[in-house]
Amino acid sequence: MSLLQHARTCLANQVANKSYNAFISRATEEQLLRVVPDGENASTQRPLEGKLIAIKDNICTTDFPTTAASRILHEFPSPYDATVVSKLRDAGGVVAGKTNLDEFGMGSHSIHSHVGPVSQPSSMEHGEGQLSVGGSSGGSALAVATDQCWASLGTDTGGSVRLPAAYTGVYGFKPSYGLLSRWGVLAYANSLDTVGILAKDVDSVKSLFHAVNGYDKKDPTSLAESSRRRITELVEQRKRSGRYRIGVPKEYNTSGIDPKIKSAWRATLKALQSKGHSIHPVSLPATKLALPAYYVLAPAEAASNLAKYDGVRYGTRSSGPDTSGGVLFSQTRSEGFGDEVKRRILLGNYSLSAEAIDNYFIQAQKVRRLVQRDFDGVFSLRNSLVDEGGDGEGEGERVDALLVPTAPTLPPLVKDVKRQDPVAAYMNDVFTVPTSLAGLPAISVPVKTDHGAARSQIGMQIISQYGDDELVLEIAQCLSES
Amino acid sequence: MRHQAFRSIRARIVPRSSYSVLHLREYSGNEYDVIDKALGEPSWSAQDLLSSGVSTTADEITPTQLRKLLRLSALPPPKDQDEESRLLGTLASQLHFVQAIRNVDTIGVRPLRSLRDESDEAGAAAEITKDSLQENFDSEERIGKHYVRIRRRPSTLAETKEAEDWDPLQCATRKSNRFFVVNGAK
Amino acid sequence: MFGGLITPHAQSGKLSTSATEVEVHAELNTAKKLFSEAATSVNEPPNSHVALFDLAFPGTQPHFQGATLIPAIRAAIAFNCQIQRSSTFDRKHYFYQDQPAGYQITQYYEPFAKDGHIVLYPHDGIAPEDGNSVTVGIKQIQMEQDTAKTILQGNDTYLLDFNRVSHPLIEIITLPQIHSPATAAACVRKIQSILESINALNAGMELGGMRADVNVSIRKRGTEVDSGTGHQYHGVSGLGQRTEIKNLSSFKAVEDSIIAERNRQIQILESGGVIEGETRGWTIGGTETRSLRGKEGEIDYRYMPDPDIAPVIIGEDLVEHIHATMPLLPDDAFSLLTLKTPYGLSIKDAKTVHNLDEGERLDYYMEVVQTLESELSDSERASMPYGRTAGNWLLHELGGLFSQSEEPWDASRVRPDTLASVILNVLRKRVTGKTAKQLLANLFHGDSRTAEEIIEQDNLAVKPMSDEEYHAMVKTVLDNNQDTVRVILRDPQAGKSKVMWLVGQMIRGAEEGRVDAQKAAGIVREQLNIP
Repeated sequence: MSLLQHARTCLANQVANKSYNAFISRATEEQLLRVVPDGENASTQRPLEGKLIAIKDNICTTDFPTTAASRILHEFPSPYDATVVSKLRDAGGVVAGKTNLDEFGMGSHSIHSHVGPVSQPSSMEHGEGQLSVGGSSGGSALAVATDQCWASLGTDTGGSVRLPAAYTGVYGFKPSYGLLSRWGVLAYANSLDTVGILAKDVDSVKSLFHAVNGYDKKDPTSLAESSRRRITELVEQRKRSGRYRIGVPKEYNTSGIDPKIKSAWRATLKALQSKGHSIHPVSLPATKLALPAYYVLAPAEAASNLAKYDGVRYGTRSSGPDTSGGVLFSQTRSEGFGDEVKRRILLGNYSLSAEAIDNYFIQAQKVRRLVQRDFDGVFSLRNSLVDEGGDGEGEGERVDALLVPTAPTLPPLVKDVKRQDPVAAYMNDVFTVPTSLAGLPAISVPVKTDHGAARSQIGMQIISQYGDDELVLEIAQCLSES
Repeated sequence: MRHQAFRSIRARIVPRSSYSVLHLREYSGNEYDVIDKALGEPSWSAQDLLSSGVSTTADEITPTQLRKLLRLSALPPPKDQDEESRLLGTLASQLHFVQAIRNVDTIGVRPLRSLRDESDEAGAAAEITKDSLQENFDSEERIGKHYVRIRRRPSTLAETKEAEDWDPLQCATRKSNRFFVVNGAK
Repeated sequence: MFGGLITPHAQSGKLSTSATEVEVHAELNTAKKLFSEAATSVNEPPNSHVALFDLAFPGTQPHFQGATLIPAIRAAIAFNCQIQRSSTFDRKHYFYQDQPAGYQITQYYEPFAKDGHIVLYPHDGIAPEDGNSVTVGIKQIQMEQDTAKTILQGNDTYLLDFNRVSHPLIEIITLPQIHSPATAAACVRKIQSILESINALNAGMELGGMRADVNVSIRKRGTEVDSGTGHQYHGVSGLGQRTEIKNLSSFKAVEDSIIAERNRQIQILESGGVIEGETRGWTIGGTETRSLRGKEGEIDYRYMPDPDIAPVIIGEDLVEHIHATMPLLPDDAFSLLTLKTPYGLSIKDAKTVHNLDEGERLDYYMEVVQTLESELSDSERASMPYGRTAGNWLLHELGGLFSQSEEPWDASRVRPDTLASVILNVLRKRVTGKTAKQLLANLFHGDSRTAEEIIEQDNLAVKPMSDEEYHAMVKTVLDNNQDTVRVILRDPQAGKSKVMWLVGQMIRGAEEGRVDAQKAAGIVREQLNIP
């Protein structure tokens, strides 16, 4: 299929799937056809030439508004492009539009959106309603799953690329923290936010990853070139046998896992085993602390990052004085933020308050260190971010990667999610949050049992040590081919 | 530790559809192997975080504290009793959810504030040295013969032009000439 | 209290002096801002120097500008601080129209400099009761962002100019070791002087480039500091509850507000009340501090280490280089000028010459002194107070000429070597003082000849009197003052002062500068035949 034909197909799919609300803003046919090269022999010099890429709406673009699915940034025209967007454009990629999400990235089902929730057509088994696409990068995942674009960018703070990838049956890759620039990515939690990639196959993930990966001096958390070189050397020193040691952490075997997911986990491990890789039980004792620690840290950083939204320099503003209601900016913010965002801001400010900060925020940062150490204790590759302790203290076997489910359950119904207690929704992130805390590379690989739903709804995560992104992609590739 | 015999291949690859997905047959074998061992009895239930199984009592948030938090968040006070109860209820369940970290022994553990290269090598690379600021030292002149003073020479436009090359007021809903405006009427 | 005049409250028997801590915020002299590449500015068109990050646009991040360390480290060295190799930045959260991000980036937990001190002397203006010197400890110096400028239009409209946002500030925090309002003002003044001497200050307090907050508490008389009782601030214990007075924009405001606050606290305590720890404000020309925070109480700033900003690692070589190239600090300049030969200036003159024209005057002075030094012989150098004389001629004579003609100082108007040549002639008594002043004035007003030429051509040199002339003059004065002569002859030992009186008469009666007192006295004694 030529690039142009592919673009037309995507456009047609966009129209057909409009009601599922994957996009907040889309390129028009005219806009796309102007930039996508014509003919079978279009130059393929540039790696992403003519490929349609959807961008999660919390990443800045100059040619589409950037709203973060929030009323407070309704139609906000960013004066600059995010670095990852510039890079993909430089590689020939075409921005297909901005995708829907949970407001500012806060949520696990892409339902907390100013323009309405994202959903996906239900499978044959769930005739009663629409299914969750997962969140917060639900729009990006659905757009890929329904061929509305070739691939998409999302952001993953606690699992927001991997979870929707699992629920919609596509690949969702979260690289090591600091590899992809965050300049132009609206901050939810600076120390956790990672730009991620969603696509239909590993090659596409790789191709987009390589195009947007690289040091960016505009992002102070971007991993320095000297550090990247050091990690590459470290990774290359490892003996390459093509056979990997795959760890199964017992703490991920929780009682809440859906039996279908458990058996998919078993089967995936068997598949790896049959390809010559070995399976090893390991232990990550701090796993159960990761979720509570995350829900202290992320809302705290969010409360801080969202303090800039006051309507004065950009964004929507309440009519009337800025002091309406007695507290400066409170009217604008109350009208502009959705309920989930407000809930997390309050929790965040509590964790940072003078009485609580030691027991909550700082304690959570210490627990985060414990989670990182856990991983360092099981991976054979040392953690190059730390000098001492990069090898961790684990006495057990060392492994190259871990294989765990992405989510404990299958995608729930949107209507059930809406009824759910907001805190109950935190549970979806139990398997994704630990890797976020440690900034490790992880990919969700779609797997399907023979019970054949239209689309896979189960994802398996491959996780490896910091900087070992290529290994993650390699094992994903291995799982996906003969 | 390598595993020996490849039993019957449990995985087969379905002809390529639009999904590049691994199709698996459910594992139904009875062989004991390491996978069984790994996926044996569940080790814990994440639901415990929600229930009252956790022993530590969460701090109680009073309505006064709630108001203070709302003010610190630049959000308005609750508009009625219902809203106040709702907000207090959510906070309580959120705090309950995160209680598990409070009992953990973290003595001597350094907080992980952000994922940076914390190695000595990176520290040395990040060090701000005289050389790295040589350009700035060069833009200072020493004046005076006996009482030598430092004067920073005014900088050229070129250095700052890129950062300033845009219209800061372009997204402002309220402005007055080249000022932003805040209306502070009580 | 009479309108505007602050009088210290009569000290009650129970209460003692105030313990004050000063926090000075100074805008650093840098090319760019603290966390963006936009230019710093003073009076530019509004919103003409702002980067995306300065306006907290979504998705933007801070870029620490290392060059801001240069004046900051100079300041830390000048205040004798320990510079920390690694320091970090924290977010201080509060909402206000001048704070675009909803937080200020500052250094709360790990500032870049700690544990310094500043010494204050009577000539700095400390209170007399503070004796010969006061050493005030400096707890820390931290780097932080400045806020936007707000202009109030009408009653409730604020116009915002974000040029100043993220202008680098240093905040210098002293220990609560200042016990008198005058000393507090002197401390702030000296901080400014030191910062100016190292070119670290963008503009002085008068121009809004520096502002101060003070924390005031009352200490019970007889309570030893560090006794372990009362409140403890920054490790200094035995203090009363403190209040903070914010945004003082002049040295006088510092002094007046502390006096007013001290009075207020004494009054409250004496009537059995309790001091609330609160933030108060001061209006220039006011008589009382006023409470700033309403019933909501104090703000919780929720200091959070900024996750985007890496620790700042300051290299040792950088500190060493800056240390090695530090300019002369005010105290060192002062010692040099007052204590070291050949300068020996009075305290007043030393201060004046140091403070004038941003150091140009002092440089000029030193050039004059060096010129004199090279011209004078060894014995002349030993006996003549040429440093002091030079100071006098520079500040009062030449300086006087400038102020009379209402012109600003200009070092090329009368060059140092020219002034030196005038002074040389005065020192050697070749011209009278009066003549020299006239000579200088001519040179000032454009006479292009050298001093030597003018003296020669205009015949300005003092004509020394011959011995005959001396004897004639002495004889005349003796003849005219027989009574005094008799007194002397009766008792020559006791009559020494009378001799000098006679000499005085001679000087008065003669042309200025012609009579050498020593010589004349000798001839009087000779003629009277007394030792």
